This record gives sequence, C-alpha cells and structure tokens, in this order.
Amino acid sequence: MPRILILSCATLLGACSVPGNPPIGPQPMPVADGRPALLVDHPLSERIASYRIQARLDAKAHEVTATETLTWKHNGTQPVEAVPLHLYLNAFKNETSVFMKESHGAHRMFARNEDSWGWIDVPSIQMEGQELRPKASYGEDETTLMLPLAHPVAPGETLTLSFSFTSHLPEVFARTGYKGDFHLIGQWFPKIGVLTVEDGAQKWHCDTFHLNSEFFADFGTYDVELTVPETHVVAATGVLTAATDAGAGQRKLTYHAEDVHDFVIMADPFMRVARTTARSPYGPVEVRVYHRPAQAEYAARHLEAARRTIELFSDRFVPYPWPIMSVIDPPPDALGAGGMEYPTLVTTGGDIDATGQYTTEFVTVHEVGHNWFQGMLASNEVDEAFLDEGINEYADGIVMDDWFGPDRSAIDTRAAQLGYYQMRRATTEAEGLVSPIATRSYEFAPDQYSETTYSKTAVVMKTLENLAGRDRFFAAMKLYTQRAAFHHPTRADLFAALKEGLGGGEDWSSYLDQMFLGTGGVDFRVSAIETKPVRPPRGVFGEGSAKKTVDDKTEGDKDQGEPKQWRSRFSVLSRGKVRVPVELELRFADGSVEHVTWDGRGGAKPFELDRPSQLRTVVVDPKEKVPLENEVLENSWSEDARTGAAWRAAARASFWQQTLEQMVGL
Amino acid sequence: MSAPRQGTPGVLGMIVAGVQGTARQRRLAVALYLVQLFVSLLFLVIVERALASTFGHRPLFAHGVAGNTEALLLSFGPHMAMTHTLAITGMGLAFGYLVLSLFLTGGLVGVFAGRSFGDAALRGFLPYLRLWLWSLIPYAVCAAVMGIGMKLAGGGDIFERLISLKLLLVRPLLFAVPGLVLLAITMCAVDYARAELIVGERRGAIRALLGGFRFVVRNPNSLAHYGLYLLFWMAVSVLYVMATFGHPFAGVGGAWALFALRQLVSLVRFGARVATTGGQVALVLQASAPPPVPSP
Repeated sequence: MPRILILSCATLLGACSVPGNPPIGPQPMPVADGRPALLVDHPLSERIASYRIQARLDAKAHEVTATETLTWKHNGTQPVEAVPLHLYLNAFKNETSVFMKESHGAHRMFARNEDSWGWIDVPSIQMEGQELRPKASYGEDETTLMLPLAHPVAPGETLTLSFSFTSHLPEVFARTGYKGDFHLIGQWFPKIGVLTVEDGAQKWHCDTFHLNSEFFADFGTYDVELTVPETHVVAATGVLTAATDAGAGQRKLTYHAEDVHDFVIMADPFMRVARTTARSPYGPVEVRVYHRPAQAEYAARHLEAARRTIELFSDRFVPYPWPIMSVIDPPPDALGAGGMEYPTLVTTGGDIDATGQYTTEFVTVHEVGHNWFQGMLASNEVDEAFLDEGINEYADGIVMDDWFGPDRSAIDTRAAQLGYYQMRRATTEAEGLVSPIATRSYEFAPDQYSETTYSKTAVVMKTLENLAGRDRFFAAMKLYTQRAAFHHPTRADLFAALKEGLGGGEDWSSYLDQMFLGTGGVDFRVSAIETKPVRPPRGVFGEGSAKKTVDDKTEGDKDQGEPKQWRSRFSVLSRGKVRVPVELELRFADGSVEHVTWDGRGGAKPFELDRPSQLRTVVVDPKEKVPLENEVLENSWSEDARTGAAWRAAARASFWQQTLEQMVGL
Repeated sequence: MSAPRQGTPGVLGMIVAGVQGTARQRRLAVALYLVQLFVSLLFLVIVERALASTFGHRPLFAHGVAGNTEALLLSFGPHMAMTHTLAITGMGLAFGYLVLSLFLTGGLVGVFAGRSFGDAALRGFLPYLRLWLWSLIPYAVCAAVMGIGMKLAGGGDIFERLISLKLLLVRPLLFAVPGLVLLAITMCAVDYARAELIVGERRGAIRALLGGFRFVVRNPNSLAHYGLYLLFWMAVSVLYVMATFGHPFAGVGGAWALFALRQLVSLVRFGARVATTGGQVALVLQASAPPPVPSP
C-alpha cells in the first residue's frame, strides 16, 4: 500500500512538473525559401538605408561579431557633414544609460538579471577607406553616436559606411537578449537615423533610447550572412536565400529582405515550427510559428491569429507584401523578449492555460498588426507612439470582434462576457490622463504612457468610427494607410486623410484636435426628471374690463381627472473636455420612445417637453457610440427606481458573507 | 482528556449520535441558525440600501446585475470606495459573528452535554475566547506550512506555470496538502478542546488546546468524523455553484428561488456543523466516562 501511494504521488508530481527539452543535437540543414523577398515586382519604398551584414553568433558567449556596410541615400535638401547612429544595445551597458535610469532595470513585468549587461562595441567606422571612429562622439548616452563624415554628402548622393562591431547580448528583460539557449537578437547593429525635411528645414531623428520609446528607421534592403551553430533553429527578417555548411559545427545562412526598416534574428536549439498559409491580395503568405515543445498546444492558436490578422488587415488597409510572417513564441522564462514587432517577424506571448480569455490570440494579433502600423506605415515611435501602438490597438479589435464576436472578444465565460472595445472602455479613465495622446513617448506623466497611448487611442478611434459610421471610417482609414504605407506618416497625415475620407458636415478637425491634442474625455450626465401636468398658467391676464384672474379656484375643476398633457423637464450636462454630438433616448410612461440629438456644445442643455404621457427614463448615448465617455453610469436616469437589482445584488453578497460566517464561526 | 475507551462510538456512531442530538435539539438549532441568518440579513439590508441609493435611478446598474459584464464594470468603476467599504463591513460583521459564535458554541456544546444553554454559554465564553486567541498560533503554523508548500510548488517563473493549468493550480494544490491536513487537524483539535472545556469543566485554554491535539491524535475516529464533515460541507458548496453558475434566475420568481436555494444550502451546512458538534460531544462524553464496574 505505501509503495502504491508513493508511486501515485510521484506520478502525479511528475505529471505536474515542467516538461524538459530534448538533448541538443544538429538541426536538419535549412532549405532556402525559394521565394522573392517581396510579393510584388517593384520597390515599395524609397529604400533610403540599406545594409549588408556578415555576422557570427557565439551562442555560448551570447555575442555577435560582425561587419556591416551601410548604404544611405541623401534625400534631404542640404549637404550632410555628420550622421547620427543608433547603438541601442548600449542601453543595457550600465546604470547610467537613460533607459536604465528611467526603467530602474525593469520593463513591463520583467526585471534585469543584476549580473548581466549588454553592449555594442564599434571599433571601426570607415568612409571610403578613411577611419572615422575616433572623431565620433556619443550623445546624451551611448545609445547614439554622432559621426562626422570624411567630407560632406550632397543631396542626391549616396553615403557608404563600413563598420566592424561586436554585440554582447544582455539576459533578456526588454525585447532583446538571451535566456538560456534562446536568443532574440534585436537592435543589435549600428543603424543610421532618419533625415526628414519639415517646413523646408532638414532634421535628423535619432533619439536617445528611452524606456517607453521604441524605434524609427528608414526603409531599405537587408542582406545578412549569418554564421550560427548547427544546433540552432534560426528565424530572421526576410527570406532565406541560401544555407551552407560552414564547418566546425557552424552553418552560414543568408537572408534577404526588401522594403523593411529593421532586421532581427531568433536562434534557439529547441524550437519547432508550425505552418499555415494566409492569403494576401499580392499572393500567399507562409505563416510560421516557432515554439518550444512545451508550448505546442498554443501554436495553432498563434497561427490562426496571425492568418486572420494578415487577411483582415490586408483587406481593410493595404495588402501584406512579404511572402513570410514568422511568429516567435518565446519560452516562458524569456518572455521579456515577447510581445515585440519587427518586419516579417514578431515575438508573441500570452500563453495562458485558462478558458474564456483570448490573451494568447490577442498578443499575436497585436504584434502581427504592427507589420502595418509601423512595419509599413513607419511612423516615428518616439515622437508619436500612438500612430503605431494606439492605431494598431484599435485595429486589433476589428480582428478580435470578427473572430469571437463583439460582445465576447475579450472575456467569454459562462459567468461573464466582455468585448474587446468594452474592455478598453472600462479600463480607460480618460479624465485622469493628464497628457494628450499626441505626446512624445518619454514625456508622459509617470505610468500613463500605456493607458494613454494604447487604450485611450483605441477608444478614441472607436468613438470616431461610431460617430462617422463603420463603412465611412474604414474607407478613411484605407485612404490613410494607402497614402502612408512605406513612408513616415505623422499625425498631420492621419488627420488629413481622416478629414478628407470622412467628409460630411461634421467638424472632424475639432473632434480630432480635442481627442488627440487635448486631455480628458467625454462626460455626460443626465439630471433627475421633473414631471407635472400641463395646466393653464395662473395669474392676472388682460386689462380693464377684460382683466381676468386665473387661479386654482377658477381652474381647480378642470385640473381634476387624468391630465391631457405632461410637462417633463431634465438637463444633460457635458462635463468632459471633449465635446461631441450625442443622441438621447426618451422613454414615456405609455411605452412610447423618442430620440433627440444634442450637439454636445455649451456644457449643458435643458430640455422641456409637453407630451401626453410622463417622461420616465432618459438615456444619453443609448447605442453606446461614444466609448470615450468616462462615467457611463450617469448617462441615464429613470424615475422608476429599480430597487430589484439592488436587492438581487445584495442577496448575492449576503450569501457569500453568510458563507464566510459559517467558515469562521458556528 | 483520556485515551479512548472500549465502547466509544465509531465514526458512524458519532454521526448517528450527532444527528439524533440535533433532532432532539432542533428548536435550538433553528434558533442558532436564525441568529446567523439575522447577521447576514443585516448585511443584506446594508448593501441593498447602499446600492439602491447609489444606483436606484441608474438603469445601467440593473443591466449589470442582469448579466451585462460591461455595465457592471462601468457601474462599480466610479464607486470602488463604496465597494471596499461594503466588503469591510461584511468582514466586520463576520468577525462579530465569530465572537458571538464563541458564546453560542459554548451553549450548544453544553446542551449536548446535558447542561443548560445559558449557563454553559456564559461559563464557556471567556475560556473559549482565550482558546481562540491561543489557537491562532497553530493556525499560523498551518498557514506557514501551506505557504512553504505553495512556494516550493511555484518555484521558477510564473509564466512557466501559466502555460499549463497543471503547473499553475494542480501542483500548488498538491504541495499545499500537508498544510491543509494540518489545518483540518487543528480545527478538529480546537473543536475537541472546546468540548473538553465544557464537558470536563476545565478553565485552562492552553491545556485544553494541547489536550485537544492529544485527543485527536489518540482518537483517529475523531479526525475521520471531522474530515467527513469538511467533505460534506465542500460538496454541498460545490453542488450549489454547479447548479447556479451561469444560470440567470431571472425575474422576481427567479430571485426568490435563488434566495431559497441559498438558504437551503446554508441551512444544510449549518445542520451538518451542529450534528458534527453533537457527535464530537458524544465521543468526549464516552471517552471521559468512568470505566464500567464489572458486575460481581
């Protein structure tokens, strides 16, 4: 008996232990993808910054040693005498970097390993054979480097720079790095800033790497030769054009990518690949999910999420133009690398074994969606993060609602259901957010970046969609995405496209300015209803012999019986900083219903109605067109006090309180 | 407290004795249940008044209570302070009931032991209070053992456990079993310490508590009996959740039916508690009875 017990316990505990990985051995030689880097036969961007990189990954030292040739086309108006470069990896070099000071060594839910640092050494930068590195100087910290050129580069000319560098990866807690054998190699090579011409003036964008700021780069082509251990499965941006044996247990993998603005690599000895095909108007897209064996049951869900996103976004916005989309599901202990977007390759997460929630699907939808909002519409994530994070967050809801239904696309259990946009509405307190949506990513009030940039923007976009009508709004968004794809759109481009696409008589400029450039939200409040019978006015009327007094004595009899008319009064206040038109639903005692519209301006609107029946209930925004509303509870008032709901809720609370009594007492 | 004697009731005998004792004292049992019900109804009225005054004229709240999750979130969102206050009030009332239970339990044990309710309740209250305070120490030990077990189960990254329900819930529950068993033993020992304080007329809470532990260790039937009570209590609760989860119980009729079902569940659990106490007292009485004198 004891033996059986011990064996049973051991079996049970064994079943509940973390599944291990198989022994490390050589992977099968990868086969080249055999597909062009683009599904169309013409360049989609100006291809300003292109890179050729030869890199070798030392998976034991977590280090990449590489040479790089950057070709940059000067598309500005004035000669350039120096160029700024990003050295993002230096954010993890020591505690004096701006990133480290702002993050205190933590990003999202993940903390830094105190013993692990990351950095990039760039000992040589040459221009036409001339060594420039000694003249280069760091910016605010070592994440940017200003490089004086050997000679000025005139507009229209091409600059070629040759680098040699070594990137030492940190243990991952913020997007890039390693954990055990898993490597997510991002922001790992010297990258040139973006030169724009604004109001006739030339301006470089190459910001210090902040906690909340992401990236901004020019489109180009990437040709990367990567030497990696033969034990590792590798995924990277673009298509694999060749794979050869490099000897000594190494392989050389050659990747080519077009019209992208970043290049990322995943290398891990335990990854497996699940595949499906998505349809883009440009052609079939191979969708791959890279996952560890322990996460195999999530692969199908990530695949479906990626497929749906590619197909729906291609239809609603612009077609996905690349032949492959790789989704990396990082091992749980490397989730700091998860939830990040790169062109043609994203990292996901959200593998939670609980029914009734769609976190797994949502993370993939969101990251794949970024291939539109930042991958193709390459806005400046530092200056205007809402253009990618917020617009993408809104657009993700289109996929989630289409997939799971608008009333259960966030939570779907027997006890509770909640839609994607409902969830964002319920968790966004616009009045408490002190920074406008259009704020630089590193200038938000503490802890308000995410709620403002992601949730509030999504709620604002949903409000605009509701006000404009779904079809009209989608058409306007399509106009914006078609114009802005493979460029660097700003909020001015978004606003212009929306105003043009939405048209009509509404004051879209005012709404956009209030919502994106102002703070706060919409906040309606309906007052109590006063209702009384309509009766002849009292007092003295007329002059001379025609003078007549009307009072209760003379009119009292007429007031008897059921009144023929009722006068109902109530007010609606608009207390929020954002003013939008709103519909009111008025319900009368005889069951009749009326709808009126108020333009929402002026702060308050008194209503007085004479009707044959008493007004019993007023509902502001009955169709819930304005999710930017703060306190929806105050949007309605009913004269018929509904105490039944209070009793029902109280009875439930009372039962559980009684259960607590039974647990602690007799 | 002495070791079991020959002729002490087995588990079945304890159950029968408890049920018969409860049947004999059904009016007292109903009266005690009404005390408990009164406290929970007091909470019900407090909550109803608070909700009605805040939400009575707001149709959104009614939609929320009817099952619209978003409406519920949007209703309570701006009134979290009220929600917290109500929760604290509920816990405060439960604590008050705990103290009152010390008095009521003394009386109940006394009645099962053949004493008067009032006398036993009054004489037992302060020793019971001291016993409760001393029992916090073993309860803290139980909590520590459970905590250590769950910490051992939860070693590693939370995200590693999230990918599998087995890792997230089953494993911690398995590792919490030693702590839970210890908790059940402690609760059982406290029950027997209470019985001994009345039956044996002891006044030393610490000695009674230690005696309670000694008694349950020496009388495995006492543990089995208490374990069955806990299983019954949990089974009734789980059955209630399964029967009601996701069902709207709409309308006034539905609300009353749900209220009646909840009271039935509470009454059955309370009856089981009273019957368990009766069985425990029967065992203690048998165990402390003088050995039978052999007939010449």
